[in-house]
Amino acid sequence: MVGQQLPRVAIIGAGSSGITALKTLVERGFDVTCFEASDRIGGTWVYENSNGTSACYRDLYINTSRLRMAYSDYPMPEDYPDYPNHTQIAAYFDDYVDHFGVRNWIRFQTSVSHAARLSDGTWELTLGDGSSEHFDALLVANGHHWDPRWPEPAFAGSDSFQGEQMHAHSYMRPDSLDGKDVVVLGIGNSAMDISVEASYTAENVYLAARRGAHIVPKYMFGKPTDQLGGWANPRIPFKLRQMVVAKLINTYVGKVTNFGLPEPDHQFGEAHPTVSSRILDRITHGAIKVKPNIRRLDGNEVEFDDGSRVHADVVIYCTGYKISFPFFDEDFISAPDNRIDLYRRVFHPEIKNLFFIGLLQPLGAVMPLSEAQGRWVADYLAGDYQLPADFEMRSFIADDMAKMQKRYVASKRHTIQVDFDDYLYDLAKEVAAGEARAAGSGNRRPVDALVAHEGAAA
Amino acid sequence: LAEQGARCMDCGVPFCHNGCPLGNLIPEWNDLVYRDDWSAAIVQLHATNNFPEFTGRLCPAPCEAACVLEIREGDSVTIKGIEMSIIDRAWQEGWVVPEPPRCESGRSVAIVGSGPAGLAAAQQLRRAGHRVVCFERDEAPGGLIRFGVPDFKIEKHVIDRRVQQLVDEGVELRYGVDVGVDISGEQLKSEFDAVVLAIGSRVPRDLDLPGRGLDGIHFAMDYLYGRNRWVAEQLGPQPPGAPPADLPTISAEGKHVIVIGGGDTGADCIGNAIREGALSVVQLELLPEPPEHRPDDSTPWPLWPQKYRLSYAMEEALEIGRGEQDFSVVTTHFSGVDGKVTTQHIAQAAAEPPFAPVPGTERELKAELVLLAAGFIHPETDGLVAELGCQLDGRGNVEAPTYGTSEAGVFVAGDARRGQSLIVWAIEEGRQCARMVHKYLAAQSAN
Repeated sequence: MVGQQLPRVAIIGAGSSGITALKTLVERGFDVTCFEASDRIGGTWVYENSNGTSACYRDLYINTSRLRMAYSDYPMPEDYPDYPNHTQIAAYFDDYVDHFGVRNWIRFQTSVSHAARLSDGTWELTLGDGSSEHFDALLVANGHHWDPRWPEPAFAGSDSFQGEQMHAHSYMRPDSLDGKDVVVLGIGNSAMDISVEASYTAENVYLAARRGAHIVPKYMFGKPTDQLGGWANPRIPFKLRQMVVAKLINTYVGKVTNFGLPEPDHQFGEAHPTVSSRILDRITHGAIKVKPNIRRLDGNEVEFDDGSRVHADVVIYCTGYKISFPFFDEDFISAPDNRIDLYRRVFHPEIKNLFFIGLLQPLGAVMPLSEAQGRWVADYLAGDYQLPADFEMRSFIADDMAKMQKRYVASKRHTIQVDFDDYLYDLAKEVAAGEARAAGSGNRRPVDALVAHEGAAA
Repeated sequence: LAEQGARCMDCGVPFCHNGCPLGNLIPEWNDLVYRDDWSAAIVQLHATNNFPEFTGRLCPAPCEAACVLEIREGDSVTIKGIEMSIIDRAWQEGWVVPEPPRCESGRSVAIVGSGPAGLAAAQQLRRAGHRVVCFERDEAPGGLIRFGVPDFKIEKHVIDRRVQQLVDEGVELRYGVDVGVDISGEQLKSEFDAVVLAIGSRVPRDLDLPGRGLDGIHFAMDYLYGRNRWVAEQLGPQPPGAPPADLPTISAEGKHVIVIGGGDTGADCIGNAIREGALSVVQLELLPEPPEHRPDDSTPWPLWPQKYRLSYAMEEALEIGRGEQDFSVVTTHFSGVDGKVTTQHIAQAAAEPPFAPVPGTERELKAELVLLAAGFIHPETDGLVAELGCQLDGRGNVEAPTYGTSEAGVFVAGDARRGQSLIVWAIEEGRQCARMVHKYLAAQSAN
């Protein structure tokens, strides 16, 4: 394709998903610009990130082992622990960008305030300083752990509650809870971490669990749990894998009800797993008291569903995040109830030059999946891969949604779930099929290079 | 029945799969029946067969001929009986429900003909999300399984029940529309993204003999159509469309009937004729009488054995002393009185093609109704097929090695493609053709 220009590509976000897509596109010779609102790389992994998107607290350690989290061609340093701290993770991303030499393609401290699709299909990005730039294709990698989801509807009495109410997003350090009575709502990973941390400093910690969960320890049998071996093989039927893992964890951990947690209303694997090695320990020490869901807030007290009441200085809502795209007009693209229909979580079935990277919630880590997605999009833009027909994508999306609804507990948390190994396995097969399709129809590039290249970085 | 399921040995190489054109997962559902897990069995059965209640009633069961237990002739697992029990139970339990697509593809397919091939293609394509319109020239769906096969082999409400499932899934059926006459093939091509011809193989083999023009000599299918319409009129179910007016009535009542052709169509003619009260029914077959047992030198297990099978109809006719079955018989001519046939002149046929009459063996048979059931040679090709310009193969069938005809966007399935064959092949062809149509539509709209 000598002499024919490749499309000009924009990426929104230089977090763990944006940088790997950037690296691949640069390697493939695209003219790419990656917009990052912050002054540094890493997005949600940068503690106290100036762009306000970080969900990190000071003592956050990853809950998938570093082996699962690393990009395929850039392992984490040998001296990292199995479950590193967020600062190490952020440093790893920073190193990744320099290792592959793509920092120059990132425009720091440049937010994208608006992204509009013009009548010729190209993208007009309005930047933070009011200027605008044009692109042929747009990759969205703005993350999905930065826009807090508060309890809906709010608990009765929350408007007149005398204590503090906060979302897990703004929780930073345990010493802020020193000597206080703390109620933590939720049963996910943040709720586990925050209640454990609080249990060392706060006067009282109450964990209000709306439903039970299967607690997965970080280690089993002396190995990181996600490195235990063949159980994740996508060739093994899900039901069988579910049975084996549930058995293992049950044997290892025991019933969560023995610790006073509610009986899970679902089988293992039917909700996003809760990983914590310490929560059960702290409960058995009495440092965390388990409560049912909050019924209402009243003055300086919290009343639970069983009628019990406790004094509370702080209520921390670990109630998850919303998927949102502040730069898109809401009637153009939005994700009401966290639902957004995308082909294999990347391609918009109607808009053929818009892609979402890392917009998935794997049982495993996002980064290797974002890496695969970035390659996929690069293949597509280069004409090496051809999408299936629109109706095949729509029916895939519908089937995928039905499968997810069948498997997972109905919750706004479970709209973008994928199984790590299955996703990679299926995507590889689809890419092979699409390469054959593309070769069969002359490797035509699906997105034309229409906008003038501004010769930005290279 | 559980005992029959238990007899299945779940062979390492399941020859029954090989016997079945649909590749039915026979050992799987045999086992599920043995384990009394009928709801799982129907899932396995429906996975490869859209209409097990049709095949459970009408299929000659090549699977049973290929069953390893059939190496001792007559010992096979009663696969067909198990199949029918599974699907009958499923209907009874309400497990057969419409499975409409989760989303619409925005593409459309016209299917010409609503026989088993057309219906199978329609169901598969509809479930894949395409808009499907099935055109049927007769007044009711089913093709030969409605108008050829008698009610005592398949009750017509069985067909209606299944067609209702298709309708509930969103398949649109239009009756009394003869494509090529009422609407042109070009029109279909322009209105739909793909066209499937499932028009069967409906040109019967004729006998070009002196006296063929006499009154009382008919094609078997004309007789069977009449009988099936009569039964529908008398007993229902009423057809959704209007049957054509003033059709000639062909009746065997009180007559000496001769059926030329020793196959299933001939048998169905006999079954109808004796129910009507025919005085005698003689079935003539050109080929020599096959051996009583599987001939290991020509069709050894697991092939379909070319052996003598007493048809249900001849068994009935012999029972009441009105039946006769003759092999190696060739007809020389017909004669009659006042333009009506009275006598059929026959002779013994040579054992080898062209089965010429052996001199000196001529004799006469009393014949008041002669039904020609000597097979079908190819689909009707002078109307729609010619208009669309589809090429034919050497046998006069529509040429389509992978279901696509020589005309882009026009596909063919069933007897129209492979020549007259079993219902199980028709369903298989409908399914495979649907797959090729889906691939074609996908390739057409790939960006």
